[in-house]
Amino acid sequence: MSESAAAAPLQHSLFSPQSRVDPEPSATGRSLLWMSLFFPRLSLEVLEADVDARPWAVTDEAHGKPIVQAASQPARKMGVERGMALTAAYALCPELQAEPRDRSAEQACLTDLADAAMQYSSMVSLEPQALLLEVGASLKLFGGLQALYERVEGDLRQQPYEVEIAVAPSPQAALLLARCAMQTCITERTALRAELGRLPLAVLPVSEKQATLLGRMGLRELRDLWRLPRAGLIKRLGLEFIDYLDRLLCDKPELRLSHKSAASFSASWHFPQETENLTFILYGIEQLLPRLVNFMRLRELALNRLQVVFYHQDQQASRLELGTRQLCRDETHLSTLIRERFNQEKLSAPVLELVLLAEEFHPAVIGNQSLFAPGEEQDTDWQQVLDQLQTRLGEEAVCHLQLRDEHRPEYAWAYAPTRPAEPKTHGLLTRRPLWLMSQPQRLGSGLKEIQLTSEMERIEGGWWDGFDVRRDYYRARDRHGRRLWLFRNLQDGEWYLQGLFG
Amino acid sequence: MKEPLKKLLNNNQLIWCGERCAPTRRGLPTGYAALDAILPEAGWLRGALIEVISPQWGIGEIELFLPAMAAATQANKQLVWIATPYTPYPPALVSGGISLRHLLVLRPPRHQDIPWAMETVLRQRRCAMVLAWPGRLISKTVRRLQLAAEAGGGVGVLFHSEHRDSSFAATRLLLKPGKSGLQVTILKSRATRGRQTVALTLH
Repeated sequence: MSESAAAAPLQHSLFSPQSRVDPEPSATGRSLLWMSLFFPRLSLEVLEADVDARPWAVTDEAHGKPIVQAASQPARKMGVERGMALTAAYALCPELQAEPRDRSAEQACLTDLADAAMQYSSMVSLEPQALLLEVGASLKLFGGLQALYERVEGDLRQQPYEVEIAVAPSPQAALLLARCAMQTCITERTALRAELGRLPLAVLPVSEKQATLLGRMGLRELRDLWRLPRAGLIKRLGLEFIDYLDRLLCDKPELRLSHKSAASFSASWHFPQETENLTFILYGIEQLLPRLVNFMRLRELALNRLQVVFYHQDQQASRLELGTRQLCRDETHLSTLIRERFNQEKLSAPVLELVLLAEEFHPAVIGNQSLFAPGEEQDTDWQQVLDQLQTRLGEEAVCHLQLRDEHRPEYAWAYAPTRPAEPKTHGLLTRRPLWLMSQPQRLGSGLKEIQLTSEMERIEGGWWDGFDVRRDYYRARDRHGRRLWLFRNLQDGEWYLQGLFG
Repeated sequence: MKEPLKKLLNNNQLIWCGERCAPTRRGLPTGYAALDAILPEAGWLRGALIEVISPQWGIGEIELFLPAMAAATQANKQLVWIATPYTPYPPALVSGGISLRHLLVLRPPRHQDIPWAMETVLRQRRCAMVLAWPGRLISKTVRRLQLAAEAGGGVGVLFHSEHRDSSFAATRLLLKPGKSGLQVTILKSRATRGRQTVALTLH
């Protein structure tokens, strides 16, 4: 502490006065605070689940030669270090196995982590092997930095990735501290110089030439830099380097691109070998569903259409489509529906890989229930039952009935896919049958055994839409005791049966 | 009978003790006083199956249940009709007092889905009555449906056109067209007094 106090007066004289001015406060007047999540072994972890099982390393190309990018714990014990040439690593550890780095897998993994990190901050940006979160705006919501830090750490501990967390007022400082595995939280700009000053110069992301130059200048730690005149540093190391230092110390604001999460959801599950076993396939789907639900939860979305695509060995991919009647983001419900579909549909071939695909989302309005309509309280449960029925029986099979304002009996009703509105009072004076035939049936000779039991009711009209009717309706009984609803068609003089009083 | 024994028998729904110990729960009123008088619990048993044997459709078999269904929809309960032989005609349903908002019609494309659909909806507490025309059912399925009705507390009605000797259904009715309405014969019911027939006047 005494050292940093001694260094303080020097800072004033050495850096240009205008750079000492506070960076523009953000629009809300609060200061920014950055949390950096650095994944030191990401290149290893994306390739293998059990990283430390054997001595192995991930290699990268540098100057046309493979160099060690990251090494597992057994390899590091033998002396293999990051940045070492692969040949040198082999010399230290003869049984070392080397794998090329898979950058696309790392990027995909980082994007997933960034999606998950959107729950802590609306501003997440991607860095090589690291994420940067602006947490200054999130402190109030999460109840302070301590609580947020613990929450992030707790959530990340459940991921299979090793992580270093650091917090600082500038993004570059947070990144640097995390890369150095300094689990520090710096919230004050004034404390930055003292804290960063202790770091060795080797951690700075500088070119090889600059690194040698810094070495030749006899500098070892960052605090040595603070003491040097600004103009001289610019001359020796270039404007870019000074610019970096300014951003590091929060003397210059930095613009960052925010991570935009994908608009559609797609996640795949690979099976170690082709399988037709439903237990395995459902297991795969159930591993993906929580990710889908989480995807929706973070974005306040819900879906009513979902697809599962199956990839087979030498066949075209097949797919299973699922629809719900209401917006849904309930994991157990989706799982039940998928199971229900599997109960009736057979897979066309053994499955190699499956993809859970959801492209259409809607803003979620889940959990809002009317306070004053107690009758509707179990509505979500009932909707889930309807979904279940629809999934098994088909969309056409689940329907409601609705009335239509129409005097011709066969047009006075319709099937409705959703619950119809309460109809106005139906102004019918005469009785109608409970059963309606899909088509009026011509009676022909069966007429003799029928006894009419009511007055005639005439229904006619309809010339305006081409289905003109002129009918005399009667109620009747046949010899079996059935109560019929008949009409005589005045256009052709024949008798027809249209309904039954069930 | 000793007092504790009587209490035990009265409170246990699984033990049928004939009419003297008939439970005092209230069933779902049928809307026909003559029928309520001879049914145990003075109405349709809640949480049980009713098997209706009717040689023909169109003799008043729906009208028999219409008052109970109307009362259920007025109480915000759900009705489900499954695999109906003809189209239920909404104008008549509305005149009968049924709220169409609370009537769900299922038209399973495959015959074997009917018992599954019925079981699914019967398990729901929200369903007051489920009417189904399942065709032939094996007795094991009927037993499952009976258990589902017990779980959900609603009334399940199975319509059959032919007579079978026995069934797990709690109530079995035989319908015949009468002079001015419908003749209902109770073939089986809890606390039964033998076969009883009642003639109902329909509209």
